[in-house]
Amino acid sequence: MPFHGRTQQIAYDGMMIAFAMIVSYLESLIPVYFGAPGIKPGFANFFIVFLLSQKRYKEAVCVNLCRILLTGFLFGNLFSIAYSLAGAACSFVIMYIMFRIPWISIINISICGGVAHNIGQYVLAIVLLKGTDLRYYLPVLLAAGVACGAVNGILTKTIRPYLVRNRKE
Amino acid sequence: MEQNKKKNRLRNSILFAIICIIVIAAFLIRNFRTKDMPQIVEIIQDGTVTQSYSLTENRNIRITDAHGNYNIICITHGTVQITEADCNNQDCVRQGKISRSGQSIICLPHRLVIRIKGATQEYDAVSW
Repeated sequence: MPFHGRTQQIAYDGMMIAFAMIVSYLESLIPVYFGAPGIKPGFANFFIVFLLSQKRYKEAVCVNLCRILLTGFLFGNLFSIAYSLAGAACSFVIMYIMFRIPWISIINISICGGVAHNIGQYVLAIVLLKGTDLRYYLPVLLAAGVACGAVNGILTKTIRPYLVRNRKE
Repeated sequence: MEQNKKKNRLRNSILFAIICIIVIAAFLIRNFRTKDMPQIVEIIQDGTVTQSYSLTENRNIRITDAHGNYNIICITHGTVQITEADCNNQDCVRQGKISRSGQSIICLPHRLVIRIKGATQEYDAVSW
């Protein structure tokens, strides 16, 4: 990615964090009930998928971490930060590995990222809520991950060409 | 190049299909599992649990409250239903059958709640 110096890169990443944060916030305002508690589309993940698709892995980690901590402290609580971190870490690792395989499409990567995010949160929930049987909640989470991941993937695929316009890849 | 693109599309479709199959399988396994979990029917009058029964045993229960009003509760094949009541709105009868843990039938005029409780705790929505 040809940035004209470090300043431009910092500004660009700051913009990404701001976008991701505001999307997270707007999302938390919309009281849509997706069939189970705690399920939201996770549009902020779009920016992470986008950065990953540009092969800017380090920046993706930074943006993700900053977004989670900032939105967590501003709008959420410590629990929501813990859940977000667990989900984001899982989803990031999976997506990172998948981006290394050249033939996989962005939509599929995003779907697997969404599912991995939910599995990460699920595992943390089992650890935190010891003795609670959450088994029957897992399929709902998987389905939600696929649906939201698909939406994000399609978004990324559609918007990406406009975001990288005028830039040599 | 064109050939390659087609191949990639096919591979991606297959990958997507596999993901979908895994999710559907998870749903099927869950539905299969919840059936053999022991569930308890709780009858709550005026906010206190007065009686509880197993969901698997078929029986008819007649509940009478302090004013002499009655509800007839019928447990059959893992479902609970109020078949008869002498309240004026008949809402409880119209609520039909319930079978999953966490579901309930409420009869407001008689201050009666029938609730299915799973053998395990329900998850807490607050923690999400």
